[in-house]
Amino acid sequence: MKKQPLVEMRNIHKWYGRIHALKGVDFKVNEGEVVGLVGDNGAGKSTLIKILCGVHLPDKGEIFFKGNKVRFASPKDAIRLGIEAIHQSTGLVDTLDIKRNIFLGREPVKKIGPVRWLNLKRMAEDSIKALKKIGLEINSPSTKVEELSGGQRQGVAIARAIYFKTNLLLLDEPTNNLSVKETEKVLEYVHELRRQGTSSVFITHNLYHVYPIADRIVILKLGEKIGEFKKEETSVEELIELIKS
Amino acid sequence: MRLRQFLGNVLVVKEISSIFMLTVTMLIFYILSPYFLSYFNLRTLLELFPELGIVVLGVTVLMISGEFDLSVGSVFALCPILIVKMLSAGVNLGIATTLALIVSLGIGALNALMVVKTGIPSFIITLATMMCWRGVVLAVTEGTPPSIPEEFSWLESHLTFWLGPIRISFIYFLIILIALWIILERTRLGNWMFATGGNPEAARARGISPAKVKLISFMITSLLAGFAGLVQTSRIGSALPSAGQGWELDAIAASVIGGTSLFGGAGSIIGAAIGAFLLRIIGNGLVIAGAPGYYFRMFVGIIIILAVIFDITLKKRASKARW
Amino acid sequence: MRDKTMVILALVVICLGITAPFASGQKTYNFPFISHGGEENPFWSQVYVGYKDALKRYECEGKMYRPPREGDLEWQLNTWKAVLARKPDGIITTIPDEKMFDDVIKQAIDMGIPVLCANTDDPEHEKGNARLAYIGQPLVESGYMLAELAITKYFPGGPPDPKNLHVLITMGAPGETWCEMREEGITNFLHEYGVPEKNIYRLDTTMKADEIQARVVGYLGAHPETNLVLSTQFSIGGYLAAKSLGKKPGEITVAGFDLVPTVLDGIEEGYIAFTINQQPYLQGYLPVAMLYLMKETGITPVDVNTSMAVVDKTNVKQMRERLRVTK
Repeated sequence: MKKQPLVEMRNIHKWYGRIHALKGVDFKVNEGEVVGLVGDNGAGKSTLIKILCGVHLPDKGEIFFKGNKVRFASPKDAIRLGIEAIHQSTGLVDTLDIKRNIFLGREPVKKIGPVRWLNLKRMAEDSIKALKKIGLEINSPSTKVEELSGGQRQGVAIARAIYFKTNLLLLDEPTNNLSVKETEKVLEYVHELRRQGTSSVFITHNLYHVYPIADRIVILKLGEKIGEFKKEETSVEELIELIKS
Repeated sequence: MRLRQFLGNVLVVKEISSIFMLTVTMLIFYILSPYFLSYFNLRTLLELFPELGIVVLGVTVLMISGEFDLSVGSVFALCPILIVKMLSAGVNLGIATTLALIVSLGIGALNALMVVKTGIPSFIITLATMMCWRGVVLAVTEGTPPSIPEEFSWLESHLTFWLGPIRISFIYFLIILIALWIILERTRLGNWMFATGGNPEAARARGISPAKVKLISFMITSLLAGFAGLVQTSRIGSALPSAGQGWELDAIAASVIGGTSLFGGAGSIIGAAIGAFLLRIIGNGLVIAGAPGYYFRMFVGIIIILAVIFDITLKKRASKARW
Repeated sequence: MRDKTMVILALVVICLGITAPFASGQKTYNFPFISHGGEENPFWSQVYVGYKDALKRYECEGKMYRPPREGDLEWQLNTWKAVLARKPDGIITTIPDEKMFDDVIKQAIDMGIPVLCANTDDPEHEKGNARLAYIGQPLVESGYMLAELAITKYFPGGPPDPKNLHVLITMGAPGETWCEMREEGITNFLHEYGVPEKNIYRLDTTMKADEIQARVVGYLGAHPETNLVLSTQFSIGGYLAAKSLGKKPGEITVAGFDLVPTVLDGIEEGYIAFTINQQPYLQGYLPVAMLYLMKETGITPVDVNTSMAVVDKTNVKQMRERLRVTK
């Protein structure tokens, strides 16, 4: 018997005013899987992901998590189930340092007297460990995120997901504006992510980036799913042809 | 190389540029006239400073959370006037004071609600509430400072009595400074305040409610502004309807001098306190140095620009030194 | 490192360059003047001329401190303390609030620094404050005189029936002692004369020229029965408002204080009946002279009434020629 998917979205519709952004899209992610979500601008990729992480509610359709029907009224609901999104600009707080970013919202505290003090020591130690796990070496966890390179930032966000045993990480255009070397690094982090047991959705319009790392690739065009393939079943050139047609 | 490392560690201290500016300014004023550091004058400086200092502390917390409050000057005037009016109407001092402080909190909450619900920038919303509450002050007093009833003297003695060379208000300021520093730098709420100011979307994505954080910040700001107004009225013996005018910009200037970013997410409450002290001593220092009054505003402007330049330059050097 | 050093040096040079000429180091007397009048207030420019002339005549030093914002009493108090820290030889001050300045003036006198009050006195005079003397116009009496003259001597067609008088009193700074005292004088006369209280309206105009005109226009427009406008300071409100509402000169009787150029225009054009001159020049000059003589010859300071002289159409030309203001 086939194992049930981690997350399944059925017949999702979304209207923005009069624009029909998503027209009955089915989308699922299995455990321990990297799914590439591909399409040109305006295909509806971001919208689908925003619904999945709780930022928007679908106008029609259902979402299932480990077989149970769920409803995400806010990002908090999605986070509670271990679903998180990293958008290009909204994943980290630039003005804060690495350790404060990693533990943002889940800061460990030590109670001394009437005050719950931030356990900065643990935050620093665990940050270094978490980053090492994905192979990211950083001088000091007190470095401000704004001083990191694009690839390092993605690394921090991914390390955070692994640390908190996120079930599903949604990466929205993670390799945009990155150098070749940095892109390589991010793909390695995603690989490590899968090894640690976290599924991910890799959203991009660049097939060359996602193909090497994905298990399955889903293609959206103008709000509809026009194709879904296991990596072995297809090639980059075929997929490009499909999108262009 | 060890010197480099040491410099790197010192320079990166958030408050270094404001400490530097304060030291240089005090030195210059002292060179221009030794009276500047005389016991009498230092006493005066420490006596005048806590009121602005307390307002600045609140404004800085709010700026770190990413918002502005231009209505602090009006709340500053309103709180003591409310107390005086209630006392004249026969209300008990304890109740009057508590009510007035609750009103201050309420004004902050109202500011927060309007900003969060309408999405209009706080700069504009609080510009409006600033005028609104100042109007209330003028209407209630008809422009004339109300006479202070006898019962008020309890506050006068407990808020501003002399403790050797300083008034007790300076101690209150220090207590508030320490408390806010702890909150900002060593608690979860503080982390959320920086996050809310630095990247509210990221904060929300992590389950933090920027609206709640801003509500708390606005309320802290208004409460402190009201309390500071109460301290001033206790010190000078008069509840001036014109009190606090212009303080909203002074507070922002002090914060900026202290290293707080106008865009939110970064700042230092100790730096802001230093910035507030710096602003306060300029007027005094210039008088003692014998400079004509017309230069005051020019000097304040110069110092703000220099402080920001130093801050940026030092930050760049500091990060280079560490890599 | 270089950039920082350059900037510091520049700052030091600027500071020294600007303040060096003013930094003291001579053996002459230093008599600072601390006022509540705003930097932009034209009346105070006239006081400043008298003050400067006296400093020059007696070879003394001094600065006049006026707040950037008119009536910023907290600024005045803070400046007072800074001035006091420098231990000047004497201090000239205004007392615009009943209580605020009592402590610091007493402190100065206890320190051996004589303090004279000019232009605006404590309402309780020497009983309410330790200042050694007051040089200026008696404020309650001047308000009384203003109302008396306006009604008995300058009202067109002779002194009117009190019930037919509709009076607007424009107050530039309610709460400040000088303004309240003049208003008290005005009200005393009006009541004595029999004007019913409901015919008297007190308007807060602030001291800002544009605000004054706007508010008085607003009031006069809504109350066309107003036939008398008395001001506790310069009567530009009544003048400009009457003019912009198209009233004929004299239709509304307007009177106030001081000789700022706009008021003189108003008298010449016939809108303002008269103004009472408190001789600001003397308020700047005499305190310096008195302090100097106290130091040199040991005289005891005395109160001086700098006058309640009336300026109207008959002598406005001479006053204009003699009007001295800082350029």
